[in-house]
Amino acid sequence: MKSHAAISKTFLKDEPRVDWHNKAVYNFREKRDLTVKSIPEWEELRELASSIKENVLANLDDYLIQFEEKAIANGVNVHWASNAKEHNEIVYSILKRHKVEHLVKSKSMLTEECRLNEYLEAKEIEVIDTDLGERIIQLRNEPPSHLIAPAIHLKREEVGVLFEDKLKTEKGNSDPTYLTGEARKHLREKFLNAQAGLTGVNFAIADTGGVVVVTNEGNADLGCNIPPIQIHSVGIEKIIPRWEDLGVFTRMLAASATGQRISIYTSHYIKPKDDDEMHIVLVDNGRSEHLGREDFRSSLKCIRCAACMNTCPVYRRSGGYSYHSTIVGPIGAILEPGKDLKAKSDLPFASSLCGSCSDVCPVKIDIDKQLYKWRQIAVREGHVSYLKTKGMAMAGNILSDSKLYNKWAGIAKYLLRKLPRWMIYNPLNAWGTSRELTVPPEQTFTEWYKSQNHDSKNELENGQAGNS
Amino acid sequence: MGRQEILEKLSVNKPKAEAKLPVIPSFEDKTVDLVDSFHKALLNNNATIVRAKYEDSLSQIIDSQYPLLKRSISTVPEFEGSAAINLDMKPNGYDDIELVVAIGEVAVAENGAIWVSDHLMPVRILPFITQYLVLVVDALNIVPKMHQAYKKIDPEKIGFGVFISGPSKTGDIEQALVIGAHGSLGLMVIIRE
Ligand code: SF4
Repeated sequence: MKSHAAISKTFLKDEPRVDWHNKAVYNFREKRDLTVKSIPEWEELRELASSIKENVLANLDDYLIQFEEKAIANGVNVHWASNAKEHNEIVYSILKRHKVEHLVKSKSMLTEECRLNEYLEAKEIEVIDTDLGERIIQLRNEPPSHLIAPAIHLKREEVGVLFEDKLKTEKGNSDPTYLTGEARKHLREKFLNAQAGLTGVNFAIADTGGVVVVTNEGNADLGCNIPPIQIHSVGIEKIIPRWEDLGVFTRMLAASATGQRISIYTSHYIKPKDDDEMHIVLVDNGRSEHLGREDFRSSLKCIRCAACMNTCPVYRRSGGYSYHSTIVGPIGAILEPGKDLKAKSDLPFASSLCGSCSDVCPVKIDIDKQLYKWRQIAVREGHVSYLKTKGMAMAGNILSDSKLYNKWAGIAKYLLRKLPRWMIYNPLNAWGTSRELTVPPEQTFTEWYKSQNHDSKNELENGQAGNS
Repeated sequence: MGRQEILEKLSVNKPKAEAKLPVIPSFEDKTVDLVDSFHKALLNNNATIVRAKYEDSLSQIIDSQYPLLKRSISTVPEFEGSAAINLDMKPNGYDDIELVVAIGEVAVAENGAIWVSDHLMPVRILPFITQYLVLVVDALNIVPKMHQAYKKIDPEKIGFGVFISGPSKTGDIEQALVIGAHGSLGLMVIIRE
């Protein structure tokens, strides 16, 4: 498996495309900022969301039991899957029992994690991803490159060519409205003929036994409400305790993701429709184990809004595929090493540790701190090359000692100004290769702060002036 | 079977420190005009809004907005659709429906979300499968934020409910906004005050 740095290098070769990708992703971040600024209680909401999720983690077993009890009382079939294999087998057994040959799917990061499509296709079941972006990458036989915009790495012309080939659209027409209209027709047929619909979920409510699915396109609702069989795959960390908790999360999810006040459809599935069947598969697949990692368990609070990758300077300039994982970006970089440290030990290094991810995270996960801690573990367990180990050991010492840090910031400032270009943009430095590093300011922040007559010692060294 | 194994692992691995569930404040701002704010939020979500008086004719409003749409289903008593709900029909049988008119039971000023549930809408697929959707909202049912909306809704009384805040849309091709993805191509909201 190629490392993040190696894959990034290929991505970085096409400079105009990197710039385009950077801007496309940053666009989400800017819209998020506008909306968040207009919500006066935003920080209070973050605190609430975070403490609700902390409570969930401390009581997850009890909430799951409560959820199951409620769901069964609602007439829902509840299944438990320890791992991806069990999940896939459970889904298949439901489909087989009803002789399902056509399945429509939406919101499928968990099924992506479980590799459900490949599994079902091998059993001759047609699986159609119905979110437009997901359909596009499915037709291209590619994995998603972003949590909420899976085809963000593609240009309209590429989608046009793809649809020409697969959906027989007009030659050379890559107008997004036209292409979306054609996809609507193509997928409407699939919805009408589907015998079962499967979705992931955003929230599973313990005191109600229902699940909440959020989309802008309405694909999950066509998928759940047309076919007679409806299946929801639920990662066990999606539990929230109370119906009223939805008030907090629905105000934050779309705002953090795309800057919308709320998504177009926020659907609550509680009981099966008419005499039809509703199934919920609760999936562990490493989550219960991750809960035992004290330093990293809070990453299970994630609501998959993608704000952390939209703000991440490394993600924006390296693209989702450089993370060679289902979950990409900063959150992927702290979740994936827990699944396979050896294969994913490069991911915690795919960060500048600027902390922007933690600042935007609606559930207050300390992403940057966890990245740093994973680095230490990766080094300790010998998964990191000599160059990085040395650099890291040094960086570790410097970062953990504020006096040293201040001294080094001064030296780095000097070096970036004085060193010849070949030393900064040398091939060992993947980030320098196609990026002009910012010329550092004449003064470091501390120097400036001192010059403004503050008592920098007390304020800065207590770390209070750093983060707002 | 994974159930026992999962629950045991969780009980061993979960954090032991107590983490209390917070009380959620109502975050109400009494200075906000609920109808105006709801109106603005919906505009932002690309919906069409008509502000009507209680005595105004719904048919007139709807016919003038959608003169060409023939096949319609309505669950609002004052508007008669061209077809009736047929509880024996399979959901995909409604694919030719062009217009659905339904009651929005609760509406949210902050974001334009409108609650539609199987309490008043017996066929779940209708608001999604129709080409165009009209939701009729009584101004008295507009609440400030999601917190109040969830308080008003009793989940024990429903099997399905959805907040709809606009016509379906996507930005999946180069983030270009396209109205009309899989759900309705247009949403008209009639606010009766
Ligand atoms: S880690 Fe936080 S910011 Fe990133 S996707 Fe999860 S909830 Fe969103």
